[in-house]
Amino acid sequence: MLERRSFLTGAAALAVLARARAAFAAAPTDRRFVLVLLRGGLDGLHALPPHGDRDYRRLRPTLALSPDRALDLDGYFGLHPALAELTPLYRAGELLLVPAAATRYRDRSHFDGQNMLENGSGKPYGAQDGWLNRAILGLDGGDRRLGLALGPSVPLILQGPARVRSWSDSVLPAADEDFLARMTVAYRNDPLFAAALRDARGGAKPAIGMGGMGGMAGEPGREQVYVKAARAAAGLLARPDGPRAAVLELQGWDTHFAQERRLKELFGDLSRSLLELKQGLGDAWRETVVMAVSEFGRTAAENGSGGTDHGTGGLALLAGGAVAGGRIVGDWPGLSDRALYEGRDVLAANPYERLFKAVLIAIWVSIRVSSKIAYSPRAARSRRWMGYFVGRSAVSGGSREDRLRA
Amino acid sequence: MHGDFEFRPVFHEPGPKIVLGRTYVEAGAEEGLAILDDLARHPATATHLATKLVRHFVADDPPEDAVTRIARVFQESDGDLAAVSRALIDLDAVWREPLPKVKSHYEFVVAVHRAFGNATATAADVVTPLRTLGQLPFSAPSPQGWGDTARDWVSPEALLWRIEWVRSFAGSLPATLHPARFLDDVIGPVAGDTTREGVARAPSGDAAIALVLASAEFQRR
Repeated sequence: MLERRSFLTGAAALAVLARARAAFAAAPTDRRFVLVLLRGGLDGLHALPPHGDRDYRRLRPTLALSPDRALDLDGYFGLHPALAELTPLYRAGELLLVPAAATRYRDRSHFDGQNMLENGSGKPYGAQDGWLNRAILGLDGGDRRLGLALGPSVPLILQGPARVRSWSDSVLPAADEDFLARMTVAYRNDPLFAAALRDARGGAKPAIGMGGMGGMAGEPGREQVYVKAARAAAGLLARPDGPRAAVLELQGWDTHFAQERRLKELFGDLSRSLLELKQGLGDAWRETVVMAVSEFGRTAAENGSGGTDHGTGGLALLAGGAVAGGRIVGDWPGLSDRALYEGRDVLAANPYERLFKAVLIAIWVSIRVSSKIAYSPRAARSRRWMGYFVGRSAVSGGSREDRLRA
Repeated sequence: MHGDFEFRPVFHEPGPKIVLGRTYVEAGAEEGLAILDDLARHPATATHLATKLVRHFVADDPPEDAVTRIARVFQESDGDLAAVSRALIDLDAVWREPLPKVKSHYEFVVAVHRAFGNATATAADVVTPLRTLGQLPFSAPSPQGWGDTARDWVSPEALLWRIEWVRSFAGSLPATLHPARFLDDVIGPVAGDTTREGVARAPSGDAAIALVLASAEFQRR
């Protein structure tokens, strides 16, 4: 009798092991989500200029793009020419643009705004972890390391109880030019440090580390880092047993001055990174949503230094085969004096939080689980946004049109 | 035997010795002790120690009156370092300037870890940056020890290394630190306007933290 029981146990054990091995062979979802954090406050109006709008030209005498320079999309909005590589995505319905979009953060501090965007509690420092980490936890209990951080550290949005993977190109990222410029200003009242830093910056570039994830426009090696990170992300996400949520960080968007030159380079980085993702993901691109966001937008009017200052309404840019794109959506309040928030910023008419929630529900989790992830409690408010994502393909190989109809 | 003193008669030179004009009769191991006693009481020793102490706590260029005072306390107390320490604390010069000195690389690295209450810092967390900066413990270039002036610690290269290290270190921390509060905790009483503004305007949380750590106020003491 003893022998028979242990025999059954043995066979049952083998069966469990076999099932377990199969379970570990593939991640619990086919859907991929890539969040691109544009740190510094992207100027939505520069990326997606309302080229036909008179207020736009009045507010930005030197920065405004003329209608013939902007790549027209719908007769009113256009793309900045440095984002030209994204137009094919738009035509193929794989790019969705949401102007006048932002979190509910209404102050002007970068790190408070970023913290609030990432922690998902509705206020800065309101939670010690990030909403994307909590979403992953909801997916699989956090065992499978479905999150992937690209860069030297794990951003808050991916911090939390679910373990995540990390990929980094460099051992010791050098402090980028933007940071050194800020240190130069900070040292203004200390001649010893000011002189030493001036000498250090005036000399040859230090040969330590690569560009890391930082880098102001104009720094050699900067774009290579972003492209490499995007390629690495795509390669890992494409694998059946790979991660399913990745976060890329691009620095340098805080364009108080020299905006035309700096954004031209950064737009190139961004579009190249997105194309790198599409290429690397291959078939998995049809199951992917990429979303690029920033902690806030910038002032509607230009300042006196060829740039713009911290604002409110910005841009949300979505790309991927799982995006029902090829259009510009959301509420657009316009740029008249009355329409501007506090008389200076684009109004944040389209809340990021509802968009985040819609993405999560559309691609991954139940409404119930999503409620615990992001603070916005009512899925009804997000319902409008859920229509912009392609339904999950029930049958593999179903056409995109079939899925859009579903 | 490591670290202990041992007298080996077979290597001892017999006969009287003359050191700084004084004769010491043959007395084996006792000779060394007698010489040390006399050296300790030599005025130059008092001045030497006083100069180093005042340079360390007051200014790279030690003010003469402070050195004289400390040297006198040393001599009058027959080398009582407790008395010397109290005299240092009593010096006005010590309290006049808030941040006259620059932290050595070692003091800087330790201060960075302490700023986070980092009880979990491993030896590598301390040794690796020290190796890069060139101040590994117990590896001073000569028995003179390490330098003690700003020039020894703030060269353009060293400053850039320090900035890069804290920039990447700050990037590896949990993103839940509030930069403004961190600034107040760490350098609040001495933080200047340019540092405060720089932190408030920083493009991300970890850039703000790095700015605090790279600030002149934090690198000074």
